[in-house]
Amino acid sequence: MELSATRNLAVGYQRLLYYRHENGAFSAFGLSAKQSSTWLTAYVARSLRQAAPYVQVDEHVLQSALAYLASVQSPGGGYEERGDIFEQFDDGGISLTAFVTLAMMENVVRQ
Amino acid sequence: MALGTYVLSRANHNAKAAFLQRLDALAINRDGRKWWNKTAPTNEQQSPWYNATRSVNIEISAYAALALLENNLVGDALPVLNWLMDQRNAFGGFVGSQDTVVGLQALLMFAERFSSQGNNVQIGFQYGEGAETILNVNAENSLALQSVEVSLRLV
Repeated sequence: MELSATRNLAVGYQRLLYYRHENGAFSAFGLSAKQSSTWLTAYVARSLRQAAPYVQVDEHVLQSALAYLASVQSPGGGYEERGDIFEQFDDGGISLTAFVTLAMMENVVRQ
Repeated sequence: MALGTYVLSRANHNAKAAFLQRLDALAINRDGRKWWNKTAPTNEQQSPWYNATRSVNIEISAYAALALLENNLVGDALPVLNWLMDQRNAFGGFVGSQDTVVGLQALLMFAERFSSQGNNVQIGFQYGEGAETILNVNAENSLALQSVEVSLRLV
């Protein structure tokens, strides 16, 4: 059970990289998507940090995703979805901003 | 709002109390269940997209439960957890993959918080003429099912 879980995790990680953009972000439909998705990039950053204890995760993939997120922060401190809409909270970006913040928080590597 | 409250709680931000209060004011309470509803227009409730609304409500309520648990408000989270349990499908999931992830996370965190509290509950049943059974639930047996047979004549 544990073995097949870690194997699935490793396969999923490889497949995930196909959706990675040159700028470090991710989108749902691969590189054909014009825009990187803020929500999805944050989701990936959270998931990879959670997966890192079990499979080998390239730290550069994580850091560049976080760097991308930081680069799209609006002057007011919030985040807006630039890619395909993924979340359906429809609350003017409050949830998205919270979610990106969560991704950042969880990626503070404890020394 | 729910997600925001959860993140503020995780960060232990001083706005978290105000958010918890506002979140609570938006909740629906019924039959010992508590949840949050992003209302779909009534004419949409027959549409195939109605399930998507249900999915969002599960996510919102699960994040709210996580926020409450993060603040160690286990008792306040219980009605939300009860509602979430009602929403699970026959395979143990919820509506879609994303709400299932957050929903399970909330259930898991509840299990963690609840079992680590060193709960020691004594439940007494009285039935018939002076018959009584006492069940003890504690950290060692909290996951085990305890059952008592009640004599048929009493029913």
